Amino acid sequence: MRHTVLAVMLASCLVPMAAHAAPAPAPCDLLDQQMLTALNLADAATKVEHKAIAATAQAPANRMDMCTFTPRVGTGASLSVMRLPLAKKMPPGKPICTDNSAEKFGLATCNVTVKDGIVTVSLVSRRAGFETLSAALRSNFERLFTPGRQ
Amino acid sequence: MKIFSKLSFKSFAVFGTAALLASSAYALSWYDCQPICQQNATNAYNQSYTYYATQQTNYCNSLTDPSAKSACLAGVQAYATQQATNVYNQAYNGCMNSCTHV
Repeated sequence: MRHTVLAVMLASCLVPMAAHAAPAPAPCDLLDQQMLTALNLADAATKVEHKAIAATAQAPANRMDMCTFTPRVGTGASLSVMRLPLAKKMPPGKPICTDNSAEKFGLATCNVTVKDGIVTVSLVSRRAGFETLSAALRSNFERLFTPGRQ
Repeated sequence: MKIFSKLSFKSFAVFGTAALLASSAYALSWYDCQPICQQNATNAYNQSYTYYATQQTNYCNSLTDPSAKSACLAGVQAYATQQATNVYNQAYNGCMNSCTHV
């Protein structure tokens, strides 16, 4: 009898835990320390934001979760990662990266579809050293998000 | 490069003015620097918004799943605004730092 009571109590604790198992990762956790180190952001300050997206004629209301990494000292490159949840499960897609540089600064962005959303990572850097950082962004993004390489 | 090449490089001096000021022999006051840096950061905002909106729209349109494409396109404006705001802040802070700390 005592065992039965204990089993029921244990089950009542585990059921709510199971219901909340495997939540979507926080946006900052989508990137790893290796990537941040390569972009000189190993000790960065982080800021998490959640933005509402209004419904359109083609899409229901949604939200985007963003995490921005900025250097604690100086005005070096900053990085942001955005996750846009999708209602429907998707097959993992191939990472796609682009960059754009101007006279004084550069912007680089990588996108990929994961099973439950779209992940976009963007780098902003001064022009000097931008190519190196953009290449590091691309290689690390592909390492993290290429299907079969995770 | 394709996007920026279409835009006026004259206004594209986010860090340029700060570098020019930094090369001068004296530091300017906050009041001298603020309007210059605000203008530079505004230019950076506009240029980067164009980049982010175009880049993200192109990516969304490359998605083959209709619901994913629609959801992606619905988020373009919010994403581009947020990213361009980050660029504004980075440009403004970098400019002010260089301008007032020579």
